[in-house]
Amino acid sequence: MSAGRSHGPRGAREATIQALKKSEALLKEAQAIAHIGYWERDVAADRLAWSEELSRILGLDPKADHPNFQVFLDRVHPDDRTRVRETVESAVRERRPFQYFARVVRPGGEVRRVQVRGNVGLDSRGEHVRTYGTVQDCTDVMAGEELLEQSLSALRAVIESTADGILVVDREEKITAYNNKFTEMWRIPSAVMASGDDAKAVEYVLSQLKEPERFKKKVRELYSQDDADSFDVLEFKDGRIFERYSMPQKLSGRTIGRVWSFRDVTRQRRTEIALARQAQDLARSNADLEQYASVASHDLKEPLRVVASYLQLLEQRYGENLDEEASKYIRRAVAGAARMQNLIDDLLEYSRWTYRDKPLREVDSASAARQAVENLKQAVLAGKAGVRLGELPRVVFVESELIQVFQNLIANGIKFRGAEPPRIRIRAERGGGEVVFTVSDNGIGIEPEYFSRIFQIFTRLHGPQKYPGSGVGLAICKKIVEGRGGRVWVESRPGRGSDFKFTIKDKEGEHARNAKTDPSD
Amino acid sequence: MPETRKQTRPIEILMVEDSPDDVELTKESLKGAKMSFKLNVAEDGVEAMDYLKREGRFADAARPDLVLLDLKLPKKDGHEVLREIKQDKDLRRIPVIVLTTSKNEDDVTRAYDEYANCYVVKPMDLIQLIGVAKWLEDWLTVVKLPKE
Repeated sequence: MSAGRSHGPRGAREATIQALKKSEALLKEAQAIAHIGYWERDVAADRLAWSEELSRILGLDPKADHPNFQVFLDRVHPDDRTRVRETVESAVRERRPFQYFARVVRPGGEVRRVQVRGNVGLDSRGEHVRTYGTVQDCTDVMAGEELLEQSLSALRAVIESTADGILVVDREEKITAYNNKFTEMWRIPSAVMASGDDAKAVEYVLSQLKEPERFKKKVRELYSQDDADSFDVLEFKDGRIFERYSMPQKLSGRTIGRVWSFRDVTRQRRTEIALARQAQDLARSNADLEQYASVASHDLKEPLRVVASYLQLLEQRYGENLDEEASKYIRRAVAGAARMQNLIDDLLEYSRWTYRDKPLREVDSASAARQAVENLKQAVLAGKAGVRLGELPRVVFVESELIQVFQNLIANGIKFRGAEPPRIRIRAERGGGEVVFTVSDNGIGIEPEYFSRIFQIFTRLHGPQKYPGSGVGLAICKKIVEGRGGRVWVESRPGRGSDFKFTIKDKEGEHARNAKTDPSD
Repeated sequence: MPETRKQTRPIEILMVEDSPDDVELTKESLKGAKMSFKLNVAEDGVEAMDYLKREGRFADAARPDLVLLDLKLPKKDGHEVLREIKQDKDLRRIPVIVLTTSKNEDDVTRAYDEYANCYVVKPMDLIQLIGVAKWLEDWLTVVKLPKE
């Protein structure tokens, strides 16, 4: 030994003692760190000894409380005592090692969980001379395990409670977890899942898909790109549709597998498809109608023109041979044809205002109203009509449509005038997410029973001699306003004029209200 | 040439119109004119192009001084005929008056975009048609047409 040579026999003993002391100290430290106490029972002397750390684990004073099995048992939780005693006794009887978990209650009442290990020591003749072992305080470790157990149970409950089918597969493509919904959705017999034979499970999955190869390819791609999240739609042979999501499963930043979740969207998709088809049908039928009205109008006008023209030709050529009565009949027939032409023109005009995706813009309703008055200049002058505009806001609308609505309502007020010169007032009110425009006149007014009928196309309340026109103006107003999500109606009393009202959704309302609270206002 | 007194030959009009009634009424409306007209008729767009290019049975057709073009035509519609005329470097000088029932703004814009010389909506009765014929005559006395 090199130490002996350098220090001599006496120095060597000192060194050995030092070394022993040091190792004893280390042992103590190690026991304290690991919370492991050591114990030993001398059978012959019937004496139990244990380390300081064991005293500490039991909450005892290493100096005052002397080791004794009864002292230990007293500290064991009453519910565990019998089991502990029986475990030790049977192990000693059978001369074999033992191990058990038990709760100990410290004098202060604190409960610790300990793991006790023991060995039965025999002498050369096989006599039981001692029992020895360790007691480890596992409270903290077990608390951690309990927490883990709790979160695992929460996780399991979450996985089972979702409406999605979930499958977790590791990097070797072995199934590591799944929920019942998954096997239900994919109709995989539980025996197949329980067998752990993934190939069989995959076979079940693939056999149901419309394009199994595409799915396989996608899966392989995803396994090669560890970090990719992905989404896909799977179509089944039986018509079902699943959405598939996939995300990598990570542990300490490393991808260890993949989580797949499947959602049955068959009903949702079918509804979407049906809705899209309906929208398409509707659009087509609208386009058809529009074209129908336009074509019909042109084609209807041709023969009408021929009828009127030949009647006039008849009068021109044979006028001398016709009496006054005959000429009158011809004029009436021509006038009838002309009225029908006007009707067709109006029908054409009505069909022209079909809702289309014209761009909505911010429109100054005041300038739209002024433009409407300008367009009606002749009628306004001829009727000595006055049009007064209140404070009119900016709105989001199609300008040409707004002008047309104002124009038709003003024209209406001028046409259905009373004895006084027409006085027309346009004003607007904001509120409730809309702007309500009112076009008031001092005309003849309307009986309440006709309030809704007047907005139908070709509805007339008066003979054409008194008020000419085919009754398309208000119908166009209704079509435009309702096409943009608004309402149009009339409030009136016969002889007292009418208030025509229409609404426009107020997209700028909030903004405008805020502007109004400006202190300078 | 279109100066009433000096007119040596009738004004050659090609009327592209599929309705015999309209052709008849147009003829009737031109009867009162002092100017002499020759109204030639093509019943559809294909025939109109054959006439203008003097193809097939129109090999001996006279080059029209003026085309009256309906838009709604069988086989080839008026817009196509108009485009073909205005893209043909021999024919494009011939004034084309679109004469149609359509008041549609799209048709009007499109026709002028296709270099129509004029767009007239067909009058709704004979009296008004005679007015248009009178206008056409007046117009022809005022304007100077290309020689060829």
